[in-house]
Amino acid sequence: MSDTTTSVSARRRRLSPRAFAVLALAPAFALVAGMLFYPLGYSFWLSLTDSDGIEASFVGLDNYVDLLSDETVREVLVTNALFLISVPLVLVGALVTAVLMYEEVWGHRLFRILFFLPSVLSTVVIGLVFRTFFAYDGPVNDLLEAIGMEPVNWFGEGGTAMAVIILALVWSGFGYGMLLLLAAMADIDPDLYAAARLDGAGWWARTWDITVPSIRRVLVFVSVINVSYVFTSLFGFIFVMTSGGPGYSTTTLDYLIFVRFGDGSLGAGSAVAFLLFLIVLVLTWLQFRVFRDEQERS
Amino acid sequence: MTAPPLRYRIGIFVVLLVIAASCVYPVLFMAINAVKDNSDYVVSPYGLPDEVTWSNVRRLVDDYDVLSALRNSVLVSIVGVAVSTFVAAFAAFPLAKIDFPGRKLVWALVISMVLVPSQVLFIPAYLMFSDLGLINNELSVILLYTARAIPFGVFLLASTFRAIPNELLESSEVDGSSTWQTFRSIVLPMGRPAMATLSIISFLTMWNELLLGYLLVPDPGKQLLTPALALLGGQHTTDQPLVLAGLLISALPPILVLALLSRFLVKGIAAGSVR
Repeated sequence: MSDTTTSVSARRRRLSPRAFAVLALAPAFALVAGMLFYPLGYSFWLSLTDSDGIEASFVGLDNYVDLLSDETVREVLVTNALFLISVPLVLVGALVTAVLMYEEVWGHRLFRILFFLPSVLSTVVIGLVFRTFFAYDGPVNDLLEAIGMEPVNWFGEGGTAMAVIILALVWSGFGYGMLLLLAAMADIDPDLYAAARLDGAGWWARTWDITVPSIRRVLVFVSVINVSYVFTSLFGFIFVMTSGGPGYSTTTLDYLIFVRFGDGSLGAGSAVAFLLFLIVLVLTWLQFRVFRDEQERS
Repeated sequence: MTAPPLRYRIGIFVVLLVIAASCVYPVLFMAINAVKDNSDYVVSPYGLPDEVTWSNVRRLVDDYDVLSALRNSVLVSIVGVAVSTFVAAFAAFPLAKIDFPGRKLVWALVISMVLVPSQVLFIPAYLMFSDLGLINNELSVILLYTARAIPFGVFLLASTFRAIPNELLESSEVDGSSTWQTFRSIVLPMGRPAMATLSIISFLTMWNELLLGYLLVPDPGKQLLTPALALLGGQHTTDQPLVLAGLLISALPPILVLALLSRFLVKGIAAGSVR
């Protein structure tokens, strides 16, 4: 369009900011509605039926009532709760590394990248490498035998299999936590340290009395996201390492949905899915609460 | 903060070195054993290979069609990243900077979807794409991956756009720019680093996704790389070098992204996504 005609026709063609807002939001909203809202609604409806994927009849809240009395579901919830052991472990791992990284010793930039390496790998890669490491004739048992101990059949029973999965989860997740904590430490007022030094506080005292309390809220944030990982990020590890076994001993809530789907119990599976969704929704809400408090503070 | 005494610094360095080694060793183990043949691996799983062999990679290509899985994954993640990043940028701008009725509601609806796990979506998604005849069609995963990347993308980009001074946008409007021109000439350029961070995070998520890819494009030839390797790992528990070679192929793009773009990833995560 030439300059001479701009004022009138351009203004007429020009969208009001509100019209622009509607148009700009439309693609995102369409995708989120079609691919997230609709399936979630569909999932809820399925949870009220006894669908096998082909035929479905309405059963009301029966699936939810069954959830409460189902032995397997109870066992799976306990397993999920046990996996929460990973949360303090990730927290300690992330905190220790972050506190040490804060000293900016030689090579700290390279260390930061290396610590994040496990976080960019898929659960399939990590899970299968860990499966290889903890195989009966694998490196970990070789090491145990080298120091005179008996080899362990790691995936032969629930407890040890869970320990391996927890280790994989901690290994893959501490680097992300460390990055968040380190970023929070960068905001600590250096004057606090200067004052502490004048008071004669040593390195330990400064770390415990200034560094850690200053990043309290980010510690809470890292805890919350890691609790949500226990409900959402274990599927891949379990899929490639144990398939939920032996028995149901390493089956978590998210893996149970997959098992139910495989059995053709889509209604019951969807009820579990919806339960998981509600748990995650509460955790998301908590996460944003902590996040917002953090923003308001700074 | 002043430096602690030298002996502390040496101690700290050593501890960090040990942690770093534990992060690198599994990847190194994967790389070293990917180029061994199985008999070499069984005899010495820890040493360097007697002889570097590409036979594992060749078998993956010839017998397990890993090349087409690689191609499918590249296609899905590139299209998914490009579309989701731009769609999120378009949506983030009005949510950050334009006052319109229902803004808070739309924001809450989109943000509540940030953490929806694939385990909750896969049953209805499977039925939905079955009805549409899109099982074994890459479009199904592209649509789902794209939609799942949008809520976090909107969140990340909106917090970036919010930091753009209103005066800058207003002066542009006073100069006669339309909202679209302002968006294109001011907002998008200023959002570029955040969009780079978002693209990398979305790429890693899509590249590494297992469950939806596994269920929605199950046929050999249509499969994505990560699910294909999960299946390969399930079939072969005695031929570790073959599996490790496959894992190495799928781990290389994320490792390269980390090595080359860590500037955006590490700083972006720390600065943009949480604070």
